[in-house]
Amino acid sequence: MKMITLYFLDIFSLSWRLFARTISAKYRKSFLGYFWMFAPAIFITGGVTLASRAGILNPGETVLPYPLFVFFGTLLWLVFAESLDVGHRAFEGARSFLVRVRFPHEAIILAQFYEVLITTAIRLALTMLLLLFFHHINATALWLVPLCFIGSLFLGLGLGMLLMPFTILFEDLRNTVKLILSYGLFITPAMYLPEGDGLFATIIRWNPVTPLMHAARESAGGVPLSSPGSLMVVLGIAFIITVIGFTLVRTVAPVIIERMLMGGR
Amino acid sequence: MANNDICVSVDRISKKFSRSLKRSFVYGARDVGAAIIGRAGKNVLRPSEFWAVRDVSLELHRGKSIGIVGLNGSGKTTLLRMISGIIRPTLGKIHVDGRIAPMLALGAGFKPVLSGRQNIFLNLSLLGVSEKGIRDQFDSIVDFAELHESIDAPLGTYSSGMRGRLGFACAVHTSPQILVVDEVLSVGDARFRTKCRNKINDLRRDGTSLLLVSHSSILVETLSDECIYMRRGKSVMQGGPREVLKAYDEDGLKRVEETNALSSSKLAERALTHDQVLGISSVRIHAGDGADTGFWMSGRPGQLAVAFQCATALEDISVNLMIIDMTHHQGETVQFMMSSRDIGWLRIKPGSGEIDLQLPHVGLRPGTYRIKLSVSQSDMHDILDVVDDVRLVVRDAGGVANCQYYQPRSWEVTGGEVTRLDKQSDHSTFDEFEDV
Repeated sequence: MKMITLYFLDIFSLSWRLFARTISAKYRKSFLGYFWMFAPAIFITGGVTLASRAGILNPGETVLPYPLFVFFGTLLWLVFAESLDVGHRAFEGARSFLVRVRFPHEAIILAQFYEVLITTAIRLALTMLLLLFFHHINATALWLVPLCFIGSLFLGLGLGMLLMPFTILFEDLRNTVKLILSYGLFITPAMYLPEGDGLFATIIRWNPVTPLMHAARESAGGVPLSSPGSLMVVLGIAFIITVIGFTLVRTVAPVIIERMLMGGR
Repeated sequence: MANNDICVSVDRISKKFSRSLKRSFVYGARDVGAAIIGRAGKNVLRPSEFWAVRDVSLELHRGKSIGIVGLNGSGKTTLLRMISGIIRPTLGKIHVDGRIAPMLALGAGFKPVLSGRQNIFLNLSLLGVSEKGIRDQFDSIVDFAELHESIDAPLGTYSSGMRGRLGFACAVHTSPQILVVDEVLSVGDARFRTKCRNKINDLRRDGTSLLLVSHSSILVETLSDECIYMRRGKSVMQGGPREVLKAYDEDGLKRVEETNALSSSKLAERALTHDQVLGISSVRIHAGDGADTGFWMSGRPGQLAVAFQCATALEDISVNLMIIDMTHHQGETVQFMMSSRDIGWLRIKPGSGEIDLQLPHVGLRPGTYRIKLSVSQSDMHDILDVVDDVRLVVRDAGGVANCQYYQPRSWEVTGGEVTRLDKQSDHSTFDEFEDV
């Protein structure tokens, strides 16, 4: 038992060091720092709000004021997209020492995860503030909105770790994932609610992020959840794939490191 | 149950790699699949795969050292990587008891924007030292690396020597039980290198075991208790350093002879083409006493004979020789000689001719070299013919251990009551080494 405790202590202290390493390196090169956490959401919200005012985009009836509606959706998507990249970024960024020393590999994933965790927390705080100022906060929103953010975080993290071994091995797959991350926002209900049974509407309906977005906005808007069942399912899946993903990364790390050695650099 | 005295036990390990990068990724994906369902590696090779390490076993006892020699690509580094736990063997088992300081990883994880201080913490955490352990060792590391003034400056502002020093200092301060060294004792300047050597000796005196990989026989002979000779992934010989290194050196010489035999038969078959006025027809290497030995001995006389065919009378000819190191600093030119610079231009009449290069003392240190030989004309150095794959082995005659080159010398007693005790000692070591 003591051994296990020590092992985890080691992982945490190492991951903390690695985290400090990336953070101070990152913000030493940036003046605007935290602004970049929100920039995409602000621009998208601004853009689509103008579009809907001009009548180009017709989002239909929304539970929140439209700009807030978009802001919620976009941020949730960003959280998902960024945590999806955690596994890959962790391994790619640690390439230089992965191939040279042995250390608990969980630490690099954790280090990368802390970064996303902090970003998510700050985004969540800002979202709540906006809600407070421009709408009103109810008791349900206080716990359900954070839950949706966390769900989105783990959904991305788990999925990313499941994909990571293959995105590291195959550049094509990596590019596909990048493409989905850049334009995937458009197949979520972040900006509008699709209606009917068309292909597009079906895709959006089956998008795993959709139930999270709906739930977050509905609870923020103070209306009852339209499909609490699918929210539960998605949260369950997020949790399960995170556990599976972590186990997978542990198991396959040596295979990946071996290919990194062969791939040069 | 492993014997308590053994700190590394390697039991018949094998490792396969793929020659084709594309395939290796496909295999990688399959291996990922196999790892998920918990299936072990297989004993068969898939297309384009080869055994980088095959069936190697070794046991490293506490406080002892094992040297591993072999050419490039013989699987030495792969073996060390497996022992260090970076990659997993396809087959076989490795048991390591104790902390490994892998000298293959000097400065792992160093980040240029962070200060030296932060990098020490980062590097040592990666090497598995606890926060408290790092704080305890911190001053001693900075002392050792001699970086008192710049420890809070970003690593990016350090010179490469400073970085090397910091990396080495970190590695040896992890209180390792096993040191894994892969040809990297060349950190910093000469004084610091001595310090590194002494530090390693200190650690060894305190009972740290050593695994050393090198293609330099001398280093291995002086540092190891046991030696393993690896060829094409297999351990072909294992035992006392002397016998093993003898076999290794002999094999090296044999291989060079084969290469040279092949290239000299090619040379002999070569006829002058219609636009060629001169062609080298043979290159022979002698150890000074006339016999075609194919090698030189450090410190002894050496000879190189170049024979050529010439179609027309030629003026202003020079024979040029470039000797390129293949052992120590691979690819570095260590000697460049031009007959025109030494003895002036040559005039050649049609027919065959031969020029001998005579070295009273071979100054090169033991190792394998490549000779690039050319015959050129005039100040512009128009190349008439060139042979660039002559292999040269320089063997040890006993006077160049720890030297960069052989220095011809003599010792004389010039005053006082000083007598030489053993007149034969010099020669006896020479004879001993001649046997090697």
